[in-house]
Amino acid sequence: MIDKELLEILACPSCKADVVLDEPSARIVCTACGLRYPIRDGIPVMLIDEAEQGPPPRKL
Amino acid sequence: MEREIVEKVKAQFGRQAERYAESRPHATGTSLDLMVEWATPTATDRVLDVATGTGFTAFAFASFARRVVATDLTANMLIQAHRLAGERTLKNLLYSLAEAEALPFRDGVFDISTCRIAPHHFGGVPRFLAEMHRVLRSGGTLVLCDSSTPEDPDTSAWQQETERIRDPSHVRNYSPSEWRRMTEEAGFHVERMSTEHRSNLSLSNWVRTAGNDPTTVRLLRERYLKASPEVRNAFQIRFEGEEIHFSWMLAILLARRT
Repeated sequence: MIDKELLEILACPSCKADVVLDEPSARIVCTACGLRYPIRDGIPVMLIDEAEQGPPPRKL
Repeated sequence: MEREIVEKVKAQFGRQAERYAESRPHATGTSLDLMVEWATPTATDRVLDVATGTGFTAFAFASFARRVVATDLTANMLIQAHRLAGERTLKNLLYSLAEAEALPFRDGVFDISTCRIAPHHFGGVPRFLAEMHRVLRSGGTLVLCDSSTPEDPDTSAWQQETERIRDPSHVRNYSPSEWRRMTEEAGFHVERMSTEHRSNLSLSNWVRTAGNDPTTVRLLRERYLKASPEVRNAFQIRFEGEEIHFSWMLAILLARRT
């Protein structure tokens, strides 16, 4: 869905924390602030304005 | 980036992606050659190209670098870039939508970061430069090129207003001294700077690329016809039949992340 190298270097544009891919929802999710970024046409939409506020992320 | 500016940029470039893909001044030009020459990308480098548009700068670096990550604020631009990269059989590009002032990357993950003919659309150039600094590794290379403006306030003001009439997403062009100061303030050491290249433009093509309506085109034509001798000289304005030719100076800058 998303290139492995891209996922490794992506961070949350808002708080700069690490992100993880949530495959079932096709969202890139910030592990700190919980913002959820959509993926459209295979391209991560890493725009703060287009993110959804998810529930506080589980500790991994 | 201020919300209003972001919306203007999205509106302007969402509409114009295909025309930009065909537009020669964005596709060729020795300013891009100089950027690549100065940055000297190698087969181990990971490069970031911010505000890639339809990807021409990213493609130039992708021929030498291991990996190029291309970002833009507008999905249509990246879709065009992806299509054009496919035509060129370039396979080492990755794409993400991103705001230049809020980059979605971890600290220090790039060897080279670039941005070409775009910062004049950014609402917060100091924030953009701080982000470029953050995502570069220590000793990493920043190479920028943007349309610039004369140090003289009057000729500069004429150009800034002309740009804003043509493109509502235009914020401002920065003079070479402003570029140097802002880049140094962001924690870079400026190693090289050139103002020898110019972007040669013709009014008919320039307004077509922007998708201007006839009223705006008339307004712009009148500005050029009434321009002072100083302005004509600074921007090399010349009239050829119905056509108006002019040029903007480009500031090209190479800086090292300290």
